Amino acid sequence: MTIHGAVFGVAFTLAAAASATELTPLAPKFGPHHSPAVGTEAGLWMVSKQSEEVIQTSPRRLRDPHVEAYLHEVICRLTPDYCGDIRVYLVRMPYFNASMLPNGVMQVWSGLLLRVENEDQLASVLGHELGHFLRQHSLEQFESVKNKATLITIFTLGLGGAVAAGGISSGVAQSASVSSKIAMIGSVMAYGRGHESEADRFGLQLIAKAGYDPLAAARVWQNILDEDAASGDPKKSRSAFLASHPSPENRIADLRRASAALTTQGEKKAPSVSGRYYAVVARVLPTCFLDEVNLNQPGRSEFLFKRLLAAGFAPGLVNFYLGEIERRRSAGKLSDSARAYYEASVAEHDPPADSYRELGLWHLKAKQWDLARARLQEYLAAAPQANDRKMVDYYLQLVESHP
Amino acid sequence: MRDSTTRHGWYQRSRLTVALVAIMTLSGCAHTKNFSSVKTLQPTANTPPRALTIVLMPMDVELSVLTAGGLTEPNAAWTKTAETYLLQAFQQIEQTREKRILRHERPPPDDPATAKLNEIEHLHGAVGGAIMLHKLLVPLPSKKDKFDWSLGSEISVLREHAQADYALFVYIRDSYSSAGRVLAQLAAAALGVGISGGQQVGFASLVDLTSGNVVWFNFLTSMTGDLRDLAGAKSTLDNLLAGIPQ
Repeated sequence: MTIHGAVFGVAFTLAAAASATELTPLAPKFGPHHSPAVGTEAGLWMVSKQSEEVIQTSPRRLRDPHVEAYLHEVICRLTPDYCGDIRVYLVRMPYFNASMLPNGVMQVWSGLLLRVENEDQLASVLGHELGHFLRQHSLEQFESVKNKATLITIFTLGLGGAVAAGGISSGVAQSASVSSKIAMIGSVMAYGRGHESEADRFGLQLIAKAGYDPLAAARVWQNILDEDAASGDPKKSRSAFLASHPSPENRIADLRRASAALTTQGEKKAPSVSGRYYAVVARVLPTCFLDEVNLNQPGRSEFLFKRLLAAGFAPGLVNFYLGEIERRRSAGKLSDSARAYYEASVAEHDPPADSYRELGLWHLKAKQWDLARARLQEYLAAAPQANDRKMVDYYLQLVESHP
Repeated sequence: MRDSTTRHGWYQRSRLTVALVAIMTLSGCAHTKNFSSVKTLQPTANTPPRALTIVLMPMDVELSVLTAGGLTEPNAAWTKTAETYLLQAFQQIEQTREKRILRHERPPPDDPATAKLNEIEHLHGAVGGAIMLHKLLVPLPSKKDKFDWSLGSEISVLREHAQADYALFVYIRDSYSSAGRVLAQLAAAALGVGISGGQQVGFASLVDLTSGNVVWFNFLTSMTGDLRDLAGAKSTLDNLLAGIPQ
């Protein structure tokens, strides 16, 4: 295993961890403006810096300065002292995740933005990641892998010695060597789960101190469980991190217990800021919607979009994408429910032009020529520069040939 | 779950690492292997007459400690020292050549050219890894008697950016056994088994910035050599650049 494997192996995820949440406050393991010059940590920072250069210029980065600035602002509210030590990048990946490199580089996946409902929930995820950073979990994980690899080497050499001395057969030694490696992987993963629950605790401290609702953390996980349940086949399509980790139900219970203790400790509790959250992330949500629909997981997408609709976010846009889900579900056949969503979309004040086109195509297929003509014309009026304009003109000619 | 950009980088690196580790086990002391598709370098046609110019890309160098368990732990201080010495050594070598060699500095991250130039560097890393793999380890029948790897003509972005005819890429990974690794090596040797110690591996390649073709490639492995002093850096670079077309 090389250093790169180790670093990215611990590019921490929001993986579930279940263990008793203690209430002893946790302190950061280093002060502000930390910049290691020598030793293992300096090596990790050097490699992380190279990764950061890749992330910065990656075509996958959603270059929206407003949203990235907003994310950084929330981070600063959570850790004012370390604010300048952290860089955050929004990455176009349609899944629920955020991660932290040891040098203070945070990556937030675009799929996360569809899955938190307000700034408090966002802050609870960012707080968790800050926990990994400020508690130096990457460094600890690397040291742990290093020490365990050394132990394995000593153990394997010991086995070799035993074989040479005629104590055990080489077959026995080989299986013992393999078992020891499996035990090492298991122990490294268990260590990682310990880090997860510590990051949960640290995150809770940060959000409570910043005046966010500590219960938001448990809410995020409950939402993920609900989304899994809505996917239609919860066992098969459980989010990847839930599949490989212990039950998030325990984690939710731990988070609720700890949050209750925090709120009764006299921390001030501000109301959830969802209006501001949606106002900012609205800039990138259309991309998130498109990527989500393209994942072809209609149960999940429908669940997420309906929640946004209930929150009153951009109904024209959300109804359009709900229509897209139905259109794809119907696999080429005329879908009445798709049409109903497109109609709901154009009845709103902010419909995307695409809703008109889809309605036009729907009526075209239904051979309702007048309605098709009207909707396609509305589409071209709403999007005169549309790059499918020639195609739509052709459809309009087709309509004219059917008086 | 991680981000795919870093995972992609890691994937490329891991392939390179596998190739390097496999090659290292074949190598003895300082050893180079040279491939070339041209004898002499030509300035780009249709440009105002000027001395043939080669741009030295930011060198990809990493020095690490080989821990007792066989993990390589990158060492930031050594890497920085090595980069400084390698550049000094490069300047010394440059003075003895008649070609004009200029250094490429990475533009700031928000420069529009940066993403493209980064892609070129990563592409070169992937192509260099493939050359090592298929020229040295797993020979491909279709590449048996020829050397025709290319980065493609999109490389001309670099030609315009750097105002050069060729680009020189240098990649070096250098590891040094920790005390624990030396002990493990001794113990393994006593049992009649060989486990590897610190190694120096690297390659240099010269790319034609009009066609994108890799016109020269030199691969180096060494059990000795130390980039942490100027003399060591000079000798490594001498070995790496030996046989570069004139």
